[in-house]
Amino acid sequence: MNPFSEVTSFLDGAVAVAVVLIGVSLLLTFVRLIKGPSLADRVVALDLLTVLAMGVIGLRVIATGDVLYLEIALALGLVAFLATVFFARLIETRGRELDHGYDTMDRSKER
Amino acid sequence: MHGVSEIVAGVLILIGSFFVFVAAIGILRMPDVYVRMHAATKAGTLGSGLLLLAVAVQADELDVVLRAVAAVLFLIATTPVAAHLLGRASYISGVPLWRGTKLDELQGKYDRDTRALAGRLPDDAPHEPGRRS
Amino acid sequence: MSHNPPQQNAVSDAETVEVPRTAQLNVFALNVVLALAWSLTTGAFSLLNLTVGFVLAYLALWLPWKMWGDDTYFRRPWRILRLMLIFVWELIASATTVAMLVLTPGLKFRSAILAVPLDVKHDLGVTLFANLISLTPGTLSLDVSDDRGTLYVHAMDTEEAEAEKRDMKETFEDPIRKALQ
Repeated sequence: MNPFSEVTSFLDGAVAVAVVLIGVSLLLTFVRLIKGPSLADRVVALDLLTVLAMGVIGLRVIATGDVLYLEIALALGLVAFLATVFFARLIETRGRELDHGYDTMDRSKER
Repeated sequence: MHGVSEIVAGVLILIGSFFVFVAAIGILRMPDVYVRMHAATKAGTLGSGLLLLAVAVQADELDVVLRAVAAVLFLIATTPVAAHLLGRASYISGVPLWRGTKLDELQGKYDRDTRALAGRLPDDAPHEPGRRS
Repeated sequence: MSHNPPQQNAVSDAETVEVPRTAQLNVFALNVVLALAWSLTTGAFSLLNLTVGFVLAYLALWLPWKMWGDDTYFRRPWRILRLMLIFVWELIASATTVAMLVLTPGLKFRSAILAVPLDVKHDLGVTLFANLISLTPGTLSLDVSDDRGTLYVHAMDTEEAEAEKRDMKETFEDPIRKALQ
């Protein structure tokens, strides 16, 4: 008897569970992306979306053995990082003019 | 041999997807940008890193392993930097801290026009957040 | 704050001054040559075989070099490996902490922005410190003051601000300062 006869199905099961969890995670992150309320919140959500996408790509490679996707994961990570850097720059320079969606606290008089 | 690496990969996938899920819950539940960033950077990075590590564990060819490890290292290297830039930008643009923030020693330290950041002076008393000096 | 480093510097200078930079390079060259020789004798120039040859040559060179006194070249990879392990360990610990805070119902934590005084003025040191802070449980570095004297850190869950600052400095700043000397 091969003690590892169910091994492949364990890996497949793990991938199935992970796909469901990441799917729900993508939905939750989308909710934050839509809700905001500030631009920074949306950028954080966007950044997490790409990190999630990298995880999905990892799962895809494991499930299908399609190695080419790994390069896409790397490129995606790079693009996401650059995007976050430039968004941060935008928020820093123009943030006060953009709508934060918050009205509970006014910091503009602060020094 | 092959079976063992598949079990390890499976366990990594389960733990990784759990952390990714936690990151998503955190980004939805946590009260302000800064705390949300904690969830997204730490749990998100670890989760996706573990998923990519699973690829490296169950791969047969060396170049696949190297590429997967490179992706993980890239993730670990960039997220703290991105979080720092975003946190700084949010604070400068005035995204408020949540009401459970009990101390804000950054308050009033940025020059409003030049965005130059002053250091902590020895006689600085800690500020109460939300109260202006 | 930084009144005693001169003495530490003097000690480490005495230790490191006899190691010329070229000596390390020579060991590396020898290591590469031996790896090539290994591939030649085994008759396979694949990446895997070259790596095996490099590791074997590394181990074979280690012993004689250790007897001659200077094994900086051989200790460096282990130091880098140790730093990487610390990084990974901290990331796991912090993700677990964050997971626990996220999954606890209700918001039963108090966050804060803390000003941590910096003793390392070196750019690389500050960068390392800031990034390590970002990966430790519940802390995220926001910015460094222009005079490189203060690091502003957002802490997700603070009980006692001053104790937290002392903790951060003790666990990371001292090791970093020693590693960079």
